[in-house]
Amino acid sequence: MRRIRPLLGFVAILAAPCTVLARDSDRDVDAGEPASSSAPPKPFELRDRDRVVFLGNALIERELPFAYVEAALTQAHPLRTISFRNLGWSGDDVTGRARVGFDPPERGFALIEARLRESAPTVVVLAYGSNESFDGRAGLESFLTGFARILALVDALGARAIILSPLRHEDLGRPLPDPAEHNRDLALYVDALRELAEKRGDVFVDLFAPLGAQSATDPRVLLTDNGIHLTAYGYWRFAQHLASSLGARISRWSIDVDLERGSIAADGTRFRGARLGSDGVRFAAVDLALPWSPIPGDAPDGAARVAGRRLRIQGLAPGRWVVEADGRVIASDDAESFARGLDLKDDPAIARVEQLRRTIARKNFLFFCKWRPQNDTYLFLFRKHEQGDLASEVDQFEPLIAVEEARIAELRVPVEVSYVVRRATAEESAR
Amino acid sequence: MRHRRILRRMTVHFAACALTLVAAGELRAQRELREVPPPDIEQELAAFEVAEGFEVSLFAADPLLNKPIQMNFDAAGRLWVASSSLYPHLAPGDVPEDRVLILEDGDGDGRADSSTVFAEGLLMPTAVEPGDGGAYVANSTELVHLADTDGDGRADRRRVVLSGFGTEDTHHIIHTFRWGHDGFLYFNQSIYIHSHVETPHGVRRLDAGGIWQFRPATLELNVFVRGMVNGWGHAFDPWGQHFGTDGAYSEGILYFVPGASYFTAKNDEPKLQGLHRGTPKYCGLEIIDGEHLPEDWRGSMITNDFRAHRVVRYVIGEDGAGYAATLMPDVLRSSHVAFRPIDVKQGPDGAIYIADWYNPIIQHGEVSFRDERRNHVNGRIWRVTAKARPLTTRPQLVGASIGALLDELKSSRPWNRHFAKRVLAERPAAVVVTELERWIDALDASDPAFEHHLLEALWTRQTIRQPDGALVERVLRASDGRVRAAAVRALGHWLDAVPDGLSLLAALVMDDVPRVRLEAVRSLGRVRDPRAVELALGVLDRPMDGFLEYGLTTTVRDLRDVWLPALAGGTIDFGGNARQLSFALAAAGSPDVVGPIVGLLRARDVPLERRVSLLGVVAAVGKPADLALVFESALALAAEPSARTAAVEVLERLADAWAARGLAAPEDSARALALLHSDDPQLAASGCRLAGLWGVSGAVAPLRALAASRDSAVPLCRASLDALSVLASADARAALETLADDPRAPASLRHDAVAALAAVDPDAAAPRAVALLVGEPDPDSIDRLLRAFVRRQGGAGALASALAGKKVGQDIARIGLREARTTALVDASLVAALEAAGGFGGDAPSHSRSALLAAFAAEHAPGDPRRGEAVFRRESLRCQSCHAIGGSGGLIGPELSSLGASAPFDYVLDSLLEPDKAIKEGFHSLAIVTTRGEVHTGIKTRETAEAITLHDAEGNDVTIPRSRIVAETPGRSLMPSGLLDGLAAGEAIDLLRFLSELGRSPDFSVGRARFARSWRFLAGGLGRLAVLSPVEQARALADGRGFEWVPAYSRVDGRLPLVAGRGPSAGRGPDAGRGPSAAERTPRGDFAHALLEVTTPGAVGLELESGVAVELYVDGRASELDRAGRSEVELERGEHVVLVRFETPSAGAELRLALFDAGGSPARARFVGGR
Repeated sequence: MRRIRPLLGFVAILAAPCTVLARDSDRDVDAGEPASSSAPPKPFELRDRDRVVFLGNALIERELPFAYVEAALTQAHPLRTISFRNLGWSGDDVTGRARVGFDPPERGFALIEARLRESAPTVVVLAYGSNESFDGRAGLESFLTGFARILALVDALGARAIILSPLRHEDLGRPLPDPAEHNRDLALYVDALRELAEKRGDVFVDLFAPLGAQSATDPRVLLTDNGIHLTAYGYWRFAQHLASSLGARISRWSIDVDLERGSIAADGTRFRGARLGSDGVRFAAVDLALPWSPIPGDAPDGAARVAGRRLRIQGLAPGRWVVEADGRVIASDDAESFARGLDLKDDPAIARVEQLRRTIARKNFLFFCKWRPQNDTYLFLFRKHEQGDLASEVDQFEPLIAVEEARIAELRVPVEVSYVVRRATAEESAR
Repeated sequence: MRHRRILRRMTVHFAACALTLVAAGELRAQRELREVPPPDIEQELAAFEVAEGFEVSLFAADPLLNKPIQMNFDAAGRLWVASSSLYPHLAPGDVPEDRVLILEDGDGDGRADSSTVFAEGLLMPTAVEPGDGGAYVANSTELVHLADTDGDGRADRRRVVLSGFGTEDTHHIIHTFRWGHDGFLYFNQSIYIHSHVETPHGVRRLDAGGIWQFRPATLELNVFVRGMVNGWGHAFDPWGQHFGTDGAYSEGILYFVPGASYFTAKNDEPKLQGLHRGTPKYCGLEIIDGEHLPEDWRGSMITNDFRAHRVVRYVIGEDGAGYAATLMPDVLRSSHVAFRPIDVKQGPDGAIYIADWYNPIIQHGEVSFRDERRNHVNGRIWRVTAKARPLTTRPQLVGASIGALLDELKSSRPWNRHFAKRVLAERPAAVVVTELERWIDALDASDPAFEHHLLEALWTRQTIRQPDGALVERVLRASDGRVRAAAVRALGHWLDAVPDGLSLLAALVMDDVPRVRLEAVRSLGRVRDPRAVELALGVLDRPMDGFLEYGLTTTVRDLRDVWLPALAGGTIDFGGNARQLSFALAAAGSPDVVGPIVGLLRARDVPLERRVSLLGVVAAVGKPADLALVFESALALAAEPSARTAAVEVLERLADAWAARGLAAPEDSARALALLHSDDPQLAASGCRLAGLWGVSGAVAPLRALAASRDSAVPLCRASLDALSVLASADARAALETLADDPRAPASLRHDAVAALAAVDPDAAAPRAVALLVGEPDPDSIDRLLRAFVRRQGGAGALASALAGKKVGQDIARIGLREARTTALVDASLVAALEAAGGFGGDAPSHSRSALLAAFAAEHAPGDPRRGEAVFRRESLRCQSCHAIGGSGGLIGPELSSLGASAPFDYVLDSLLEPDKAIKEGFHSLAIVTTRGEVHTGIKTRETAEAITLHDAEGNDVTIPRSRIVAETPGRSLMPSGLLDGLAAGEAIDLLRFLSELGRSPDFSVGRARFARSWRFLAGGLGRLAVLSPVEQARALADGRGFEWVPAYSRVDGRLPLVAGRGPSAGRGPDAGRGPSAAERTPRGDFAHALLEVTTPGAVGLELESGVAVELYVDGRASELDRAGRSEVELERGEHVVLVRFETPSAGAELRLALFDAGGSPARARFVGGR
């Protein structure tokens, strides 16, 4: 069940106008230069051909099927080829403890190093500390030593580090544990990481303070269902927060038509061929970037939302009107509603961004199958003499990943959509 | 070698191509290889043989379901099935599309009439358990909850509940979901899995196998038990006790004590053994009850011998604090190769439902994941019912009132009680509490089941997470010990909620019923308070048994970081009870116990047996100064004639510690020399070992004298030679050379001396070895001699050089080849040299795979399994030293009891031809080269920061300090390649026939009878006992000490072929020496013994069947046999020696010894198996 309500809860950090995308664009737009304001200088920017590797615990691993983060960073840079690899592992810590399998725990870091090298990162997003924080203050020093070792590795690979803080442990009430004490410990880790990032000049993304419910009395905008792991909605919020922290702007989309004045204005999209008349409006528009993924179905009531795709037409004759996109009716309402503005929830661009996200999730699954195949005991380890010939199958995932990545490259670029606003037929009005 | 292997592969391909060309008649003959039967239901139904009084019918089959992996009922009586067609291995491009299905028998006619796809798009779901508005499903790395929020019967919401489970092997990933009586969701993972699960309570990790205990509402996740290989069975009895089975191990039914460790739990000592060792592997477990079943079936345990296509039944009885299991006649048996029963549940109608995975191939790793014989499509659920007995009516639980649900807790059917609690779990807890209190008040205290009803009430409170201290106290006062035992466990979970729970536990530790004591001891293990250990140790004042000792040891270990500091700080002192303190210190398994042990031994009089174990602990973990004290104590014991056995044990533990820890010799090491002169050969042998390890100066002369003495028995002689080689000094080497070169010395001594020399100077030893081998070698010493070279770095090469241009007997070359290949570091030059010296030349001795396959293809059942069994038992092949059948034989390689029923023929053949091609879980070897040039090969059983322990092909555990490890080479099988090389083609085919009949045909299946299968024959003469009467001989032989015994094993049918003693020429009696002085001593009779373990004392029945005259002695006392060959003997708890004296047998003589239940006796006993 979707709970999008137009123009509600438009969070402040998301409200900045969309201009950064315009710089990416080298295409000619015949009309409708978007309303924009110049952005402040960005401390961090994803570049063309960047390889972003996510390394960490279950915060990273569990993002795989949701793909909100990668979708956000991909759609924000439609003309840049940025690839992503997820090396998250549930229960992991800075020693690589969860990765060792049959090997002794001391091998963990070597495995982190090997996988990181293999994935040839230019940017490494690090998510560690939440598991270590259960050791409290006593565990802080060894955590920082281990974290520094990973950072040294990132430096040696010539990659830029992005340090994520642990999430706040949300209080979901009893019978789940009271996280107050754990959060005090977590805060120590957050502060230590911030300090470390500042000292090194790395990007630090605080997830602790800005995200999640601060206490049980907070408005119920919980991002987790167990206190520590993000839901789909949690990842959706996390993706926006991370993307904006990394300099990507949240795309906005609005078109304002005033039939009396004969004007049309666009934000976040470029239109051409506009025809405004008493029988309706038509124009073609190509967006600067895909819209945000729609809010997931598990979002709590009262959850913060992003702006919708707002089409406002003032001056339509009274009666029922419909909006067609590429020949398909996507909205229908009366003239007064059009004058206030409609949210085009069924816009083809929304379908496209969902398709992009599903494609990314598919790619993520294929990559997971490649680097963490089931039965690896038989493929690579001490029973490889039995099924080792199937190890070559693992390489067959590469072309499959390439196919999905080509599809991602195609999907991330917005395409032109033809819009027609016309009177509803009698049949449509009756519906 | 490599070249030959490639050739073999090519012939296989050629053979495979040729197969398609042969006529249809010939194809029929290859049933075992290629012919997979059509998935015809009638054909499968016709192949069943059902227990008397029962019948089998089909409940559901494809297309209603495919490939069931686990099934569970819900409260509405619907059967949920997790199924996977992707299993066992996803192919690139495969989309996860596995499903969870719900089968429904709406009209109650015993056949499913609908199947709903509850969920799809899953990746190898290996378990499903309905609950909380949907179902919990195992989905590879995740445990997910799938919910149906709109009531259309299909999941529409998916929530990852836990993640981070390993997938190193898909037949080990999380599985076997079951709701417990206590409201926990239990689930298992198996040996290769490493899981790292983040919970709001912290990260929970489990490397290798175990059972998780999980409460979804609180997200508490703990490890309930650990170990096992692949345990897919888990069930609870009406008293809340947990039991299990293992699909890759052979201990039958497992009794799960909370927090216990079972076989394979790495580094966890001790381990709790299963209740029926030496069984086939079992999958699934259900405890059945209720009126539909005949009375003698109620309470039975049902599990599946999926390899042999049968469903089996056990009856469980009391055995002290634990249980004993008795195997009953089969429930169901099929001759259909694809019938694979893997899960079993009792239904709401009282019938037994069996999930049939339907697959001719079961193995996971041994057979290619892409083998075309694997079935990915079909699947069946069968239903077994008692003939002419009414089914029970399905209760209406969903939508029933709370009162009605509570009344179901009184039902005699476990199904009703279980699901009533499941439905109550989803009702408002406060209302349930109110009604439950009213329900309890209304219970009839005179009802025989009254106390069980109270227990159900207690479990209901646990299920809805509403602790009730008053109720638990009331249930603890029950007269039925089983009820009290269950209440103790609940108390252990509620200690925060029950005032003064600790003093309740203190009283329960002293309960009259041993299981209550065990539960109390284990519940105290949860209390992080030093007083808890003091209270638990109080149990020592009551009678103990193996289960209680295990439970107490586990509690002591669980809490050692709590009580050890308290003991050191003087906060606790165990009330000055030396028995308690010594138990705790011996059990703690911590280096911190040394100080307290030393204090205890100084201050108090500790019984001898306990003293030995405490000294052993100090030897294992103490500092050099502490070890000096151990040495001192051992010497003191050695001086007392009655304590010599104890002295030997302490000295050996001391020597083990020195060998494993790489310590410097003690200052007074020379005192070991005094032991060399002891008239006790074992004390002298221990002295030799220490003198060698410590490099005692002046040891060479006495060692050499001992080795050369005619009075030295073989074990002592070898101990002195080994000590000389460990000394490795120039004069020690010279002594070995002199012994080796002495033409007047007995041949066996010269062989042993060369072997000892090989370990220190292979170049000097090799020409001497070859000289012996081309001369008249001692047949009993050849393998030991050749092995010495393989186990020494550079030894194989030296021997190969010395063999150049020489000829040796083919038998010798075969033994050499076998030894050469029993290591991860096979020396190709030695293999070539032995082949040349034996005159084999190239490929000659090896059998080609294609020829053997062709022989099997040409004839329907070629070979004779009886002759094959004789080949298997040949000493020269040494199969039995590594492989057990029916639990008897070595435990180094896999148990073979059901090999024929489980493994495709080509797998068995490949295992013999190329042992490395497919190795079972846990049977991978490791070769370690030490700084001293030793090459150890074995299976890694223990690994610490200081040392690695290997279990070698001789069945010994060798601990190697890491500081001495130069190289580790993993991977190969311990089974030597080229095993068939020494066999004629007919013999090889007979052997293969025997192996492929194992567990398949009744004559070659280990049945239900409890035979003695592991034996020892008295080797050599009786020595000075020869002049005594048989009764006196038996008494003297009772503890076996000082005599040489050789292992022997019964055949699959339980009969032990009798062999006469080796006679005077072998001269291996204790004082026979090595010369002709023993010639005049002719044994007057021959002896064999088996060990009997009694766990609950009482009268034990023994039945001896033999074609020759026999006498039976138990612990040295004669036991009269009645005319049926039966005897009943009153026995205490512990191990007993059952000695059989038989007349020197003629060819073909054999005997068979079985256990039977003496009428009315509570005794529980089993023969000890193994090697």
